[in-house]
Amino acid sequence: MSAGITLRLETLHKEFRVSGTPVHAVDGIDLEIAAGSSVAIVGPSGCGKSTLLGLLGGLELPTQGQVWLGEIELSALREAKRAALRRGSIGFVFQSYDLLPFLTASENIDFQLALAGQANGDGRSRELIERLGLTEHAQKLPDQLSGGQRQRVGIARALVHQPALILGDEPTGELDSESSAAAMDLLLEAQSAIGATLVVVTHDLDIATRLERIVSLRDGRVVGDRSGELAGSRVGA
Amino acid sequence: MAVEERSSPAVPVAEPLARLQDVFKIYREGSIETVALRGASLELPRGMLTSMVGPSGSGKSTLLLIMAGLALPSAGQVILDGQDLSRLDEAARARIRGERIAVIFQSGNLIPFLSALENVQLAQTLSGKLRRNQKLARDLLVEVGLGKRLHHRPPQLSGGEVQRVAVAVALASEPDLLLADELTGELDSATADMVMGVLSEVWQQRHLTILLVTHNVELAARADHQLRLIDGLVQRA
Amino acid sequence: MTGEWSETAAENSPGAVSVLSYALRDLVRNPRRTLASLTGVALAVALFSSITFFVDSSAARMTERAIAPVAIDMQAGLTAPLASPLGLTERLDGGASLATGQTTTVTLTAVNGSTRPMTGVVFRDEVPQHLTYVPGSATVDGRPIPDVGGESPLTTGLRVADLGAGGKVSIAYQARAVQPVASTQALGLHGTVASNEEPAPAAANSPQPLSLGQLGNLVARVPGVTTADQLGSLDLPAGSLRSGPATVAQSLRVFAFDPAYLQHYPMVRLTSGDYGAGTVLISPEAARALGAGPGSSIALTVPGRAQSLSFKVGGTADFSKADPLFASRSADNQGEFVQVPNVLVVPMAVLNNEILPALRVDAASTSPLLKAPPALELDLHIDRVRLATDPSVAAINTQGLKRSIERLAPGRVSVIDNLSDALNAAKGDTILAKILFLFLGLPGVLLAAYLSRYSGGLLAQAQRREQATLRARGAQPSHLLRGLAYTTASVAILGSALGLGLGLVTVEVVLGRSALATASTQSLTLSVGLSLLAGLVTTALALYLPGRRALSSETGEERRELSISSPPAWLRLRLDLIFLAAAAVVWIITQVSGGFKPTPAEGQSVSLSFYTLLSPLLGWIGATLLAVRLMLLAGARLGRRRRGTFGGLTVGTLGRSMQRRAPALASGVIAVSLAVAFGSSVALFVATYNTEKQADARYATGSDLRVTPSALTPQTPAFGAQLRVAGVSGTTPVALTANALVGTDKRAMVAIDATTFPQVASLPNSFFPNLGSAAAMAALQKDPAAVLLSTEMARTFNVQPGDQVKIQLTDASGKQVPVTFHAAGLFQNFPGFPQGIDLVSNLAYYQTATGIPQVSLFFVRATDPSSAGVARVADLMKAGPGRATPILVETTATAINRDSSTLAALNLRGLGGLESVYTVLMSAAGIAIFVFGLLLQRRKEYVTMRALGIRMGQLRSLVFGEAAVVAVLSLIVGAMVGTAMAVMFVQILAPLFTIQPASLTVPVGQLAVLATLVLGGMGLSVLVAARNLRQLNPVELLREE
Repeated sequence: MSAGITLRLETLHKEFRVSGTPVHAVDGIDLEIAAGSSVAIVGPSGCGKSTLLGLLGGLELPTQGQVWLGEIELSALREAKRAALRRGSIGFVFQSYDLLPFLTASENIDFQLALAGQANGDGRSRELIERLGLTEHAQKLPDQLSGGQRQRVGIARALVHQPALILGDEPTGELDSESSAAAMDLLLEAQSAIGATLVVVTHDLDIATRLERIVSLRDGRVVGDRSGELAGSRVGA
Repeated sequence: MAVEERSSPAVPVAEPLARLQDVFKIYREGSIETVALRGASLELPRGMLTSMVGPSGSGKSTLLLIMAGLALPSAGQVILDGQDLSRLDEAARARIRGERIAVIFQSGNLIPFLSALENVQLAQTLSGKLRRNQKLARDLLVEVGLGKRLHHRPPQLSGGEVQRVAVAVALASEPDLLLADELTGELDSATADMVMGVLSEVWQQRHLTILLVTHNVELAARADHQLRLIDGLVQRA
Repeated sequence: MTGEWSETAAENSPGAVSVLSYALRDLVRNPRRTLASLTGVALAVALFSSITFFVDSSAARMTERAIAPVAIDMQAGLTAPLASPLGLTERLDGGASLATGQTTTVTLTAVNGSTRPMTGVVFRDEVPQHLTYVPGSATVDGRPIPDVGGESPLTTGLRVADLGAGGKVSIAYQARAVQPVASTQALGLHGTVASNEEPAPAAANSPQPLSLGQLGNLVARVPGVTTADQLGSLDLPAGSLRSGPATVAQSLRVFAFDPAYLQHYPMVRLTSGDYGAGTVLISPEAARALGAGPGSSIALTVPGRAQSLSFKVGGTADFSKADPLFASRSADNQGEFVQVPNVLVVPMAVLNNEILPALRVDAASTSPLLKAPPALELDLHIDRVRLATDPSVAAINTQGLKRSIERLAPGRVSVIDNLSDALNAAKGDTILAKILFLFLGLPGVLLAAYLSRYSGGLLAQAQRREQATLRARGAQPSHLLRGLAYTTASVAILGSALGLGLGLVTVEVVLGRSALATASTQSLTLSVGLSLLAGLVTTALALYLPGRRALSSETGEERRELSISSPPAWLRLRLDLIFLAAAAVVWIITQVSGGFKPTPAEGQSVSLSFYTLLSPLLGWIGATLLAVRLMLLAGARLGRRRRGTFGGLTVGTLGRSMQRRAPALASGVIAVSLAVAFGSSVALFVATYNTEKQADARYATGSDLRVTPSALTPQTPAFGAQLRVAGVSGTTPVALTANALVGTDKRAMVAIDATTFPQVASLPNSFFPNLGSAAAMAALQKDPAAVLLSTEMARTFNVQPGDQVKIQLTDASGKQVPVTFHAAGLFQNFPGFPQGIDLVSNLAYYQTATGIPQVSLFFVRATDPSSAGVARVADLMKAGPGRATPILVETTATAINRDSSTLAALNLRGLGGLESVYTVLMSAAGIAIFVFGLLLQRRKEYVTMRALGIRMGQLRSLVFGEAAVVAVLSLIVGAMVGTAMAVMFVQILAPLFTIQPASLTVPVGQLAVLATLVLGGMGLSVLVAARNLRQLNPVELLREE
């Protein structure tokens, strides 16, 4: 799949119970994200953005409401189906990259390919490694890589199977300012190359403004929705 | 976004309670070296609330650990009231910690199998401060508004309640210096406000010196004395 | 210090949380964590305690077996058997010294200590030196008596009235000192008294006589003595016994006992007639020599008595199995038996009334005929119930009993304590058994401790966060150490309590309900104490030491986890090679210093050098580690092959995970391999032991059964046909003689039928060093005059195969006939004669040469060699041919029981059962810890995989794959190491076997069950883990902070 996918959230609620008191992490969100667009979700800590990302990726089910990926109602699927979607159509970039510690950089990337059942994606794997400047680190294990290198591997892993949706959870959270900028460059470049839909959760406004659209959350609700720097630069958005 | 330092002009320049002088901290992991702090220096004026912002990975937590004497710097000095903590052995540091310093970590760091009351009592025991006319643990918890939650254990408490218990625990040792790391990190805005309110009250009543580390810029702006930590270096302004 | 003061105040004030209460709350409120750390300790203590309890329970049975062959428990012998029952005391009254002219009264008192009246009682006395008789002063019981010839009537002999049994009479007279007497005590007193019944004059002031009857009365009051039978024993010279013209031309043994003795001591067997009132018994040999039988009259000549005693024979008694009666009672040659074939048994009354008085006369004469005094003793049975306990406790009991009996009449009774001797041997054996069991069980205990450490280490990680919090609150290192100490102590106590409970339960289940009922409280208490100690040590190693090390690292540092493939310490330190080297050293030293059959030490029936058991122990660890090292090397080599493609998801991931994280696998394999090796080594050893015990029993018996016809009704080889009852597959006749004279040496010879013998008896090739059994038997068959010699005899006489050997055999009439044999071969051991024989010849040749058609015994082989099958055949024999012809049937079962070494008859099967249970438990625990360790350590990556969308089935396969590899590799390594260990055990414990085992017996069924249970344990762990995996929530990755 090389085209992005439309996301639609309809009256989405996610509630937890902590010692009897309900916590409304996501408290009624309606949102539509165009295919192939890039969206930043910002807000202070505890505003529910990470929870939202989890719902978008099918890692959790909402208490109320629906999540649509294109024509598929993600929130109505059972775990096995959601897992299938995750491995084939979604690419995750986690905050701490969570590479499998016993696989080399290139194997971590290949792992995603194997998960997605794309055995002949080898070419893509090598290509990504080259483009991300990881060629001489490809055979190293994660604990031999610097934070920045690991971040790049994480990004490559999220892209190699050409997902329709890329979800990033504070992808630059642990990086210094220079690396953060570089990471975003890569993500955006790769995203436009594949044409996937990109949703990035961050609390760093510097990062957020680089995307097309910025959605602000507070206490589980959308309180702002404006354009970023990239707005208008997409053809047919 | 620039942040300026603001301090009350009328306060006489007294010896700061605590000071870091050119502190370096380097972690070694296999063949990779990570430099968390590179020559950080700061002063904590007595009786004032100092805030420090910085993105994740900037070394905030490390700095806090060193300030509290829980970790030793690779180089540099950690001075509390004229005494260099980095020269002392663990037992001596532990004693000073118990008597004068209180640390609140990001997730409260309570002992999960002890009730709120027991956590406070434990702190009193360990700090060696149990005196006959000392405030009872119960009273401390009432002060932070948890009089009805004395016997609940952390898993049964909400995020805000956990943080408030952490404050009570911190106060139990009657410290001079209070170090707080992301006190309101995971909380929603309302709860965050409440917790900060408790902290302010407590600070004013007891004339504590407080260092509040956060990545919440708005929160940081409320402090008398503001610092920034970027890439292992402390900056004002 | 403020800290300390406040600490105490804190602990005393209400509502405070002290370090101790924190530690306790930690344990109580985290039940799963606590349980996991308890498991290892509990298992170690359970195994340890079950072994010690097992030994304690065995102790009582060892006692039982030790004292079972003791025929006469205790023999209380009179030190002065010939003391006259007529006792005489002589006293001077008045002061210690006498001045000239002073008088003193001399009093003589006689007591009739016998049970019959004394007639013709005569007193004699000389007036003591320096004194002179005061005329007219003599009195009898106070009545004056006239002087005789102006002198004391005692000079010539004063006759008094008859004395009834127990009667007393006093004679007194006055004497005046003619010189000063410095000390009256020093004066020699020469009074004597004699009677018709006791003609030998009894001297004054001789030791107080004690009769057997009196002793019997005293002994009856000693608790623990169930029966006391009087026994007299003396040897009379040749020719003492006659019947008409016939005489017994050899020395005669005379026993005196009453009919009850036969019931209490069945070793004496009445073969004809009965022991009625007024009759005597004679041995079959004496009967033959005299031509006498029940009803005949015989006469006995007794020294000191002119007229011989006449008796009527009531019956014949066989003493061939009554060796203890012929035991030497003197300290010099105690333990020697000198069987005398001609025996006469008379009633006690005859001994007391007729024989002993005559012997006293003989003893008092100038040249006594009798060289050795008779032995008079009480043969005692001790209540066995009080001895149903540990041998050392039982020995204390018996020794106390012996002292009590000797104290009844100090100096006049000497007790031979046969029980204590047997118990002392068993005592040594019990200690050996305990050590042996502990060594056999020690690997298991060490393993449980290792498991404990393994699980403790994993859980320490979980506690790190809390420790960081404590440090942040101001906890000092001393606080944390104290907390660790409290936790360790609590886990030790709890774990040990659990372990003790589990140990008790396993012992009861495996060995039966009342297994511990017979154990002594003392030994049980010691066992409990040792088990608790073991628990404490285990916990200290598992929790305290690693905990201490963890505390010393900094808070910040802890966040960095160890890189995934750091080589484990043992690999770097080459512990595997060191252990193997140490094992080899111990082994070589043992070989060099004499091998594995050291001589038994004093007080032990079998000796084992225990430090040699260190060798398999060290080898167990070393070999397992070496196997794992080789595994890791192989894995590394495979891994170096460049992998082109990733491969399938599961295979590619699993392969790389195992290769690159081999140390984690290695730990799992080590733990489970050690358990499997331990279990299989014990199973193999026990199976081999049991097989060899059977072989040993068959060796001792000759075959499955051994039939000995009565000496009175000897049988010819034809009798063998009668013995073929249902269940018998073959019989063979054997003639045995102990009187084969080679030169001047008397040797034991056995004559067999070389055709049937090898079909019935087991003849391993090891018995015939150069020939092999088939060739030896063939040699006998080929040459009728062939003879096989024992290796010892061949050496002594310097005989080579092919030489002629001239042997003098006793023929049917008792004459010696020279027979020429041809030496055909040598043998080391010969079945049926464990005590050792020297010569094996052909039965036909032997019978022709000696003219004796009868044989001594038959070996019988049963189709079903189990103890049940053999018992059935024995019963059929006793009911069938045994009815008409008296026969003694012995089976392999009775041989095992008669085995003199209590150590050699240990219930190793029970021990094996116990250890199998724990092997399975520990293998299961090892795999479970590995699997849950995986989950704990790899949680993050499993969560990541789930977030990335892995199928649950694939995730399960990853866990299952590694667990399965661990299980299978462990079974392989464990089986190999276990076999090697078993071989070593068999070698080291060789002294337990009479016949050396040629090969290991492999209990295939048991091992298969073990393997299945190990795999099952793995399956179960993975199933539970799968449930855990399902609960992993990938959302965790998002809420990082």
